[in-house]
Amino acid sequence: MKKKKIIFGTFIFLILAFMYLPILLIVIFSFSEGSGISFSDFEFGLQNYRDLFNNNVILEAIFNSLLIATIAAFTATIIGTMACVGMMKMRKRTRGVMMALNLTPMINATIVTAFSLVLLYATLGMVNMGYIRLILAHTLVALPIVMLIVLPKLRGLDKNMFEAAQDLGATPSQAFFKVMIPLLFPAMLGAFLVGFTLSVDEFIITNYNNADIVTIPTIVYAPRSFRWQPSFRALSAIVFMVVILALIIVNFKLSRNAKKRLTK
Amino acid sequence: MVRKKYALFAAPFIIFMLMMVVFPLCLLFWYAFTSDDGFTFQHFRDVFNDNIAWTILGRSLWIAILAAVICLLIAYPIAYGLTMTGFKRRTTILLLFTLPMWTNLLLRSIALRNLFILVDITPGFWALLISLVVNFLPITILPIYIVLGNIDKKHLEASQDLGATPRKVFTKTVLPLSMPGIIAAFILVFSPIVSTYFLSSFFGGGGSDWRMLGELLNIQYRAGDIGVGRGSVLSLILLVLVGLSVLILNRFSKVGNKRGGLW
Repeated sequence: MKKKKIIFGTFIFLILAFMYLPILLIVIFSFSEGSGISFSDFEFGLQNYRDLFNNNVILEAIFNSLLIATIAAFTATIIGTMACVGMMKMRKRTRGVMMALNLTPMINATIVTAFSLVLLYATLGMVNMGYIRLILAHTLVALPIVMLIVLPKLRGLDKNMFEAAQDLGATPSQAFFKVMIPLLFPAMLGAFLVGFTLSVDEFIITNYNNADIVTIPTIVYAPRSFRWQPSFRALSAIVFMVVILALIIVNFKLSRNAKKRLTK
Repeated sequence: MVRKKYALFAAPFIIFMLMMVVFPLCLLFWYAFTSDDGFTFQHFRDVFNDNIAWTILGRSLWIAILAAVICLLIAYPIAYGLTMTGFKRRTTILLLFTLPMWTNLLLRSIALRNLFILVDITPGFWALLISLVVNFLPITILPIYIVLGNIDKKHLEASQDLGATPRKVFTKTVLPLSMPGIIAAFILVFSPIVSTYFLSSFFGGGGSDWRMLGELLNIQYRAGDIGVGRGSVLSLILLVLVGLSVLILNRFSKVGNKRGGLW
């Protein structure tokens, strides 16, 4: 049994190591002022980071990415949580239709969603509204995952609370804001953060629908991209670190908090 | 009455999804079957008369199947090791596998290309295959992990007590019981691989040698007005491929439910 564990452990470790090797490499070489990736011309220095923050296009892209992600994830969290509450009293069949509707964009190939949104915006004549197009599209990206995070938490709550609040004289909206929202808050925060990450990462849909708005993935993909320049490694390193840290926090802190709240 | 009040909460969601999901999909059908002169099959004829499109469709299918199978061959031992050999902290290890998935695909790919440059792997078939496997491995692990974790250990003890060798326990008990997870994993990775376009252009060498279905659609989109009809047809093809795989998945997961499977 022990021998088996060592064999599997080694295998798992090797695969994990291979998955993280490229990321580690970029983080290490983000501190190298040498032009290429090779250990022979590794020169330690922070020049890459300085270049990055002196580049206006990159700063604009970072700003746009954060702005769009914040608005989209917030909207998705609100719409999604409301929908979850709405689904509680639905007939089984209606609920099935809602879930199918929710899962469609998740299962569908991203490029098909991107292409269909191009058609939608063309049909509606939304030609130059880059921000609105992207915010709507990114809300769509975040919404399904918000539902998938909030719905199980909602099911875990005591169903009678919402009704008890109303029996005690609260209007449905009061009951929603004063009872449901505080109880669901940890799940909503988690959903917001995951939606935010998905939005910052979203490339294909963004690239098809961005008009002239630049975001982090689109400047990376752009034809005359700086992706082989040293300062690019600094950008990658920052993004990797921020995303990985955010997710570790979500996973450990929030799940612990949620447990605490539920047991109280 | 109560039901209606509740349903009102879902209204923004329903309106949003109708506008952003259902209506655009209807538009795909509309543009696939119409031109300026009204109803037409011309776009379908254009796509299917094109030999290159068939070549690319075939290539996308076999590369996706190959990459998915390799993912399974690596993911199964990982999931098995985590669930069956008494690993501590297995959720943490699982988290480590899924973490890179959340960072940007482009940035990760460029990092991988840098690694390839360092160890001298040139863009082409092998680079593409490795990138696909590295990228989709996490999604492959999850369903198998869930199914293996749900297997009642008593089944294994029972087959051991009845005289099965460790190998037999695996082939006759563990493997059949984890089949729903394997099928789910295969389908979950198959559809994104078929429709990938960044990976195939970035690791395939940029030319048309390793072009895949997603990239073909991308080219139609770039072609502007002329491409809308053909692009819609290609989108519908992808839609059907993904839809079929989901249907198959549903069938198998029903079988799985009876035996304590995935969903």
